[in-house]
Amino acid sequence: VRTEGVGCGFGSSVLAAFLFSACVLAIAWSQQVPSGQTPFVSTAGGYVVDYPSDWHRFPPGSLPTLDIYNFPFSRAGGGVLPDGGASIALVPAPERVASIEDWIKADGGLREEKARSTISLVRPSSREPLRVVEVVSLTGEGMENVDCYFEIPGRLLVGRLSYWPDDPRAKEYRELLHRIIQSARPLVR
Amino acid sequence: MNDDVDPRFIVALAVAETQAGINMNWGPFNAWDIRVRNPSYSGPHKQPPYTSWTQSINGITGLIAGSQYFGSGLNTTAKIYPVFQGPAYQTGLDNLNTALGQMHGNQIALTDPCNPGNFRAPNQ
Repeated sequence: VRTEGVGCGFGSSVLAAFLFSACVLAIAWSQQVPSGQTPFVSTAGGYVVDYPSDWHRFPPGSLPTLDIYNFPFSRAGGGVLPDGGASIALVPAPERVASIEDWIKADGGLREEKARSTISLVRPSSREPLRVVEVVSLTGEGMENVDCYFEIPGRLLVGRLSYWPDDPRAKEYRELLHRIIQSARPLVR
Repeated sequence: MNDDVDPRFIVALAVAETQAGINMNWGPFNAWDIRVRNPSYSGPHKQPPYTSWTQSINGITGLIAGSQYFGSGLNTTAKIYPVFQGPAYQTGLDNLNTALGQMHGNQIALTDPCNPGNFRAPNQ
């Protein structure tokens, strides 16, 4: 009886995992994913997001949250971004962080802040405005960061963009970061 | 340390990159082979070479603790090192993990164990 019980539990777990995976895939693909975009489901981050298909994840598929680059893995190395390189990540708040303001304060010691502003983006899925606090800063190695802190139902998230400050495509990267944030929606379990 | 990074990881990273500073070919005090600090680097984002260990250690810990690594969810040796090193990362990653293990560091817990907020048992 004991053996059967264990077997039954295992079977249930497998079935539950299968159904959960199917659900996640269904959620991802049921959204209107624009052409040239790839959906990314983060169970660890609790969100679904779309990113441009011509950006790269590397090493392929190893991270539980979004971390993408505008250059192939073959150009990575040397500790910092290559010339013309940019990266975008979308990560959830650490457990001890309860508000956007707390998070910005916690991150403050890590950077030289250049500017801070509050902007409003519109999420196409809900047509509701999304409040985003944007912090621009410089790293010790000379890269510029744009960190966008925002909240979707049940989740505090930050979109982090890094690039070299004189990059002529900086505005384009920033617009892309905003579009990725606009596409973020909670992962319904 | 100024930033919340396990100093053993910083040492292990130097072991992987330059054999702990024995083979520094990219400028003085550059035990982590930061490309833009290499005096021979001619790219548009060239930074002045490091002038002290304090400067370079603060530079590497700030880089790891900042937006590009810890801040982007790259918080284990297996997640950090491929991005840091590039395609030929596997041997270096093995060396990094070995060096970290010899110092009783943890590949998946790279914040500073001396930071009271991190609540880690000794030797972890």
